Amino acid sequence: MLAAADFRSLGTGARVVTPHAGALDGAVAAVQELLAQVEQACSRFRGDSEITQLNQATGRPVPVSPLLFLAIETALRVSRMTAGAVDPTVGTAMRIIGYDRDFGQLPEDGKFTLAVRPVPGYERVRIDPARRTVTLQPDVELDLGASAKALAADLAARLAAEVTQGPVLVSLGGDIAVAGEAPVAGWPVLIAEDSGAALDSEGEVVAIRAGGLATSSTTVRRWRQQGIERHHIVDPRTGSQARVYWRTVSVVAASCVDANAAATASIVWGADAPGWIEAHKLAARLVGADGEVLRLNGWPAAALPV
Amino acid sequence: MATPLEDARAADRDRALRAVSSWTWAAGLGGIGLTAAIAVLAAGTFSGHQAAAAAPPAVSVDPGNPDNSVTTQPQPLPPDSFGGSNQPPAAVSGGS
Repeated sequence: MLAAADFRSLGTGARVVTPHAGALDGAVAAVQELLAQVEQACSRFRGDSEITQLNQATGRPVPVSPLLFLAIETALRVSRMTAGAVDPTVGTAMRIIGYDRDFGQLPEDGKFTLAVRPVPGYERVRIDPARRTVTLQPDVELDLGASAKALAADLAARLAAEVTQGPVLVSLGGDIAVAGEAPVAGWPVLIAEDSGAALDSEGEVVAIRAGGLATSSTTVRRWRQQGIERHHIVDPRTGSQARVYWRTVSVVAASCVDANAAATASIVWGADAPGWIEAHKLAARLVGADGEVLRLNGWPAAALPV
Repeated sequence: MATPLEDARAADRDRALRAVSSWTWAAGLGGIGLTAAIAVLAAGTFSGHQAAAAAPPAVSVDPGNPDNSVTTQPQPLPPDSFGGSNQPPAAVSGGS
């Protein structure tokens, strides 16, 4: 019997699961402590966060905390991995399309400013590991949303497993990481368009025993801007929202960061995504705009919970 | 017929014109060199955005990691770590 706790963090739903009910409180405390640190370091919606300060100090090296440095280093690695399809310099573009505060606080129909241009590019972010400094070129504004949540899931699962000396699953808005020796049947996970779906919703269930599972979707976290429907995945080539070729992509990988990178990049790449996923031997499930499902590299056929 | 004084003045004028011509060439070449040097420096300091996201790379290349080690490649999960399940789910993976 699995024990679980749900709470809100990083502007989304968080869930901690362990097979040992007695370990749940310790696991939750460890995860919440870590997530509070991640929010303080990486949230661009907080005026007092480290990344907000960094975004306001372009053009010179800025010393940052080990956690923010790791988050930026990870974001740059993801950018190189995806040839810039996932890029942390989308901060300005996110603000322009109206995603300038925690999602729950977005207005029903915000002001609209049309500005289609490429984002500055991750090459304009310089990091110095020896001095632990970050230099942003002028006009660069970081948004670590795409990779920081996945990194937080990986770190939180590892930390909770260490603290409780047992297996733990951590879900942050549908980005899932597991650590420790998995339950015999693995960790069963429902695949859905929306991470807020109820556990008893109809849908495919897969099991992972290690690593991470992430889903990116254009069908959730949508808002309207002067009558135009918006979603939150930006195509760095245009600085505007990605065209919807795949509406939802789920990927499993050795870490939640890698799974999230592949899923988000696939939304941006559209028709070109399956070739890259196949080349990297990642199991993935891609749902087209018309609802048709493509399963790659051993992603299991549809199975329903009993 | 020119006087010796006039010849000397003409020679002085020719020397001056040659000097101006040489300085003009030197300044031009120096300007080109300086422009090239600044261009190289600027390119290294403010590298532009690659429009490489148009299509996914067959193999990811990390300029800071010339041997292209595994760190820039996504790591797949071993096949025995993933599969279908008929168990009640413990969590939901979806967009957020």
